[in-house]
Amino acid sequence: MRDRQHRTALFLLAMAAGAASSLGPTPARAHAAPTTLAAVLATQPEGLVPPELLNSVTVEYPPALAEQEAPPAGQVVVKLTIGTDGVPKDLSVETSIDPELDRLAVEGVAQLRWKPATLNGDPVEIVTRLGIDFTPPPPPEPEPEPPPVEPDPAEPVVDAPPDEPDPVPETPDADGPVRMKGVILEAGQRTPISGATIVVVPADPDAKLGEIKKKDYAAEKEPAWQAQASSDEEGRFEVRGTGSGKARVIILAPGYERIEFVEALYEGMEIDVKYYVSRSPTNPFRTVVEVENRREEVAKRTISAAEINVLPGTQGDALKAVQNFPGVARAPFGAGLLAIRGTGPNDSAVYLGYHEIPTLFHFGGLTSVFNSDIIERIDFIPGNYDSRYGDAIGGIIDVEPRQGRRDGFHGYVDSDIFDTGILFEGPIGEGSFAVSGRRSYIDFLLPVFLPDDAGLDLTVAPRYYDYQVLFDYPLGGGNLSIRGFGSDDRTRLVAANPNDVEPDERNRFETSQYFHRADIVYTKRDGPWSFLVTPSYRYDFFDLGIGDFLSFDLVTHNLNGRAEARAQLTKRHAITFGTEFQSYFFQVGVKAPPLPDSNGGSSNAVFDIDVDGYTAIPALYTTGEIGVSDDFTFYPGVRIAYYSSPFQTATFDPRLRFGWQLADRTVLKGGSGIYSQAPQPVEASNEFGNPRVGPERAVQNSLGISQTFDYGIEVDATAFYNYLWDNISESAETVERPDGTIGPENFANSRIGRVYGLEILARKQLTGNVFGWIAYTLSRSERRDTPSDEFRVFDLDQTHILTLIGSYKLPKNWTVGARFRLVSGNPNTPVVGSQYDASGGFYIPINGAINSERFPTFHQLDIRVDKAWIWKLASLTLYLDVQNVYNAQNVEFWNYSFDFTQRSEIASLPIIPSIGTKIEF
Amino acid sequence: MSAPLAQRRAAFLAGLLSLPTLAACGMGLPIEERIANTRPLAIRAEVDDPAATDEAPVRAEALPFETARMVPFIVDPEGALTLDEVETELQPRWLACNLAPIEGLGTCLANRAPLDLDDVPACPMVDFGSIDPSTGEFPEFPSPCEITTGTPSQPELTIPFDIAYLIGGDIEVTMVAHRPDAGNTDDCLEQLLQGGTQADERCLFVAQRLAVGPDAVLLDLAGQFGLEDIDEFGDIPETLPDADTNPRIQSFIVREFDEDDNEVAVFEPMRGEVITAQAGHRLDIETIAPEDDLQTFPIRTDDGFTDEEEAYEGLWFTTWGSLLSGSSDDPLSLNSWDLVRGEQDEEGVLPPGERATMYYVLRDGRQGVDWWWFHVDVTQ
Repeated sequence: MRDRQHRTALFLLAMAAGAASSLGPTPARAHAAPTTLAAVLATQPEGLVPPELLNSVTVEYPPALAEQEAPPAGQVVVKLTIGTDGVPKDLSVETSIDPELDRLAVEGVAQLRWKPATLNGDPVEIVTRLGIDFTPPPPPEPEPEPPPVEPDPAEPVVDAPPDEPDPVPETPDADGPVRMKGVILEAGQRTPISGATIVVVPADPDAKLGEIKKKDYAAEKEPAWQAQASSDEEGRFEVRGTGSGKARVIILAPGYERIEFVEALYEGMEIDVKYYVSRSPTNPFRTVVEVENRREEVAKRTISAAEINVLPGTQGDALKAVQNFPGVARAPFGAGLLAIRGTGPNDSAVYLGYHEIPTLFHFGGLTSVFNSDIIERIDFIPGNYDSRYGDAIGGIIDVEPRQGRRDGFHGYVDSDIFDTGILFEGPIGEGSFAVSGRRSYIDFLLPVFLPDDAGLDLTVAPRYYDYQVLFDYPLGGGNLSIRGFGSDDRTRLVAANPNDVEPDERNRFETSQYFHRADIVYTKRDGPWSFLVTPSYRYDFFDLGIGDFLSFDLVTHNLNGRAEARAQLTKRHAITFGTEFQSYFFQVGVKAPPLPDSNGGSSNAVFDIDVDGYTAIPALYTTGEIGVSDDFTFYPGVRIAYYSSPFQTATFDPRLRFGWQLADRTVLKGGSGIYSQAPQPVEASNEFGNPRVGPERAVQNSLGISQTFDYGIEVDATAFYNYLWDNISESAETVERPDGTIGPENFANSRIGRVYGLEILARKQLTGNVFGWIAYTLSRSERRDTPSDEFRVFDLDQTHILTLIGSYKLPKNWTVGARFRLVSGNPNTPVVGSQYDASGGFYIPINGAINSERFPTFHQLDIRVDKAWIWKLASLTLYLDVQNVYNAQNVEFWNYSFDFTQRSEIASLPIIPSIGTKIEF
Repeated sequence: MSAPLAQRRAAFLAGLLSLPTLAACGMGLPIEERIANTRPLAIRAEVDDPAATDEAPVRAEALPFETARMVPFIVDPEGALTLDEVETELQPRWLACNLAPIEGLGTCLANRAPLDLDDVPACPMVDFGSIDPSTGEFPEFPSPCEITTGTPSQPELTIPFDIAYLIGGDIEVTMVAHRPDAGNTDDCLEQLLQGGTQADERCLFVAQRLAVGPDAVLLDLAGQFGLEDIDEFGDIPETLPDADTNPRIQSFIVREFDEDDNEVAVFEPMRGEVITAQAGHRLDIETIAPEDDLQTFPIRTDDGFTDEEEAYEGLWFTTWGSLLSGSSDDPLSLNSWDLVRGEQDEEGVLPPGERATMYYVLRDGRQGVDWWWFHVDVTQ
């Protein structure tokens, strides 16, 4: 099938201050920027000669954006300073229309050159603005099936428009000899920089050879000669037609710091040079997360890697960063619980590379189990997600790993107080690889700092590691990815009684949790079609042992698969359909006393059971895109899943969303749909739960409006109402069990719930020096366990969740940031009395009404300071991350006395400074 | 290790793991090992077994139609309360309630609340002769009911028959009382039956599991008496297990050491005996419970039965001074008691009344329990 990718060139018209005349060659499509002109002319002082544009630049409209249902269009306004050397600097976007187009606009403007402005004859800097218009190319038409043998003259043949002329090349003096050649590389990364401009002018004969650290532009004079060149894709350049003697070499590359050198050019000789340039601290587009926004979720939040790296309070952890978005409840003690829109942590799903992972963080919240630096994209969807996601009634986090770099071999060593991680990546043939690993050293450090009389023998102190191996290769017109990754957490300690001669094994506590996963992913695009096939195998192990009375071992073999196809039928219509197969075979061995209910004391029974089982959840799903008009699109979808043994139940989940472009910068989105998930395995087990329980259900409804403003500011507000039913509740009923015996029901699908609220996100994207956001959630989450109960608030119901985040990039590669959180306290069930369990020798609490109290309001300030040093071959980043700067004593739980007659506060984490360093090459 | 001990250890370990956080927060809360007011420490079930010899340990597990006596061990800063003091100062009332096999202690009444006091009948006398097992029908035993036989300080309950006992069910025995000179027992009982959400600090609620079994013996007896379909309740081990018995503390030796670690005296106090020691000295205590009293008992598994061992869990309490440890877990248990003012003791080098008391409660991991205590007259 022919490549129907359109290439449309848009010419950028720069309206420099006071320069109303045509700039450069006549563009094919030119759009003026009257705001710029008027603003500058109104303030033009006497004696000012405006700068004069010397060249023009062509910017291509990105094909990926052009394929969107509603490609972004409009004018990007870039603010810049034209230096006394005619080179633009301090570029920032004042009016944004799309992150990708903003980037292209900034890059294009950075390549423009001016004859500097003068004031009374002296060169001066000018601050001005440029407007760059973007118009998407015509939409693609579907490939006719089958292709006609001969063109039908009655139907127009749609063909790619002819390529626009290439950007005007630099025009060195072709007659002169090559006097200087070399390569431009990025400092610290050693990657070639294409499109850099190399300007060579005579230097003061007394100038010292080497890099010029400071330059007095006021002393500039008109150069006697000037030569210029541009670097090619490999960063190489050749300069011809220069004079002889000492020369000043100026390297200008968009998004990079300007550097200057003094070189000696001798008559008849050619010099070979290598220059390293550093990224500009104001360059916001180093690793922007691209969002292919096909599925118009009602509220989908994304965060860029550049933002994650400097987010206070998260130690640069991408998945922790998600916890700062609206709709996510604050977890006690900074744990890694993801309670989304008033649902429990088990109600949301985390996808990593198209399949779920069993755990997101080491030891429940310390750091995520997947290296944040090899993540391509994180989508956080708190509700009304697409039909491709199933087995969840809360929210979705979808993490997509990236490919290894192909621009050379790179890597880093990253250390902080908990662990050290390494990454190595590079090309392999036409493909790429990335290998990464991390290991904690708490097990080495803790015994050193733990007092000898602490009563703990740390046989294995808390220890974790994780690894990732990614391999990508182009195959058959598509891309083949082979991924292997895993995580391993272990702890073993023995609590020593002071009057024990030796530590007693009966006082041991040990946990092990690890998983290993292997994926194959094949993706391919063929005209309007795109395909995905991905099988996956995962091995999980979980072990818990307390003394010699409780042991729990769970081994799970997970075999999953997904196949998906998408067709862009017309400009406005598309359809996706796919199938997902989840299956797991588990073996569990338990030796434990049974868990009494919430008011229970000691029990006289002991479980000693080995159980195995198999469950499969095959599902079919489809989502359509129906563009009613250019501004209004429906996304109907449905997911049909079958839950095999022990459930043997099918679910039918219809879902509908819409997106309505009310104005250029205003989008209204809404959705309604049904969602299902299987109960937890223990709840459905014959031995511990109730095999009669079925899937839990929810209907999610949301309506949101999104408005963008200048300066990269977005405001998004979403109202939601979710109703939950058939949710699992503990049950003390005595019933006839499926095997005919009489026994406790344990669990039943009797719980219903309702969650409603409003989420607001005001966000300044990382353009210029500043980024940050204000996230606010107002919500209420309630549950009713049985029809005879009253509604009560949910365990993690938090009425108000306010998060303020800001980060500012300072000169010399300094960055400072802060995060402040103000959150309603979690509900709490008070203890109103106690009963002495004379069999066990301890007190049992007598609880009051469930969740009838709240802990005090939580508030905390975190700060972060980063400093980077960039050298030719490597770079070093040092950061200080301080959590809970003013050491707020936020109450997370009550600590009761042994007889529950008195209580004291258990505060959240105290002030925790964390220092980390990262060496990159 | 079985459930009660296990739960206690789980709680201990959970607390231990959060030690760094709790350390600062737990300051000021009462210390569990310090007896500062009237507290129940144990209730021992003693099955009336005319056939038992004096040397045999007393059974803590009863079969239906046997009678079990509940003996409370309640203490205050001045010593263990006598049975008369329990009866007159606390005025206890006792409830019996059938526990389902996996129910935790305390849930039997809680799951049946709210109840009116008038709806709780007296536990009826069980008449073995009126039962014809061949009919498969048994007289219904009200649950909960109030135990009115025996004395208020040592009630006695004749075990009824309930099908739930065949699969691990037991009886939850609850003592309800008021603290000395505070509140009254009827109000406390009413609050408990209402669900306990209005629990009163002037009340004492103490629950003890009265084990009914062993299950295998029950099943065997039920089969002998003609109860049909016994197989549905599970297999019977080839060797019928012995009933759970109460452990016995064999000896208590106290050695007094001065500030220079010189041994200055040795005592072998009997239960409740008074010894004399000097303030500032250390008392090293050594107590032995026979290892032979630890029983082996079968646990039902998917593959049949597996044997479990009982394990000792000793808890130590004092009214004054400071203990090296609050617990021990071996047949030979050691502890040290410094006769110096403890963290939460009142000012002064001597205890109130110049007398301090140590209590020791020994459990076997099931329902067996024994206790010991002695007083120390502390001198300058």
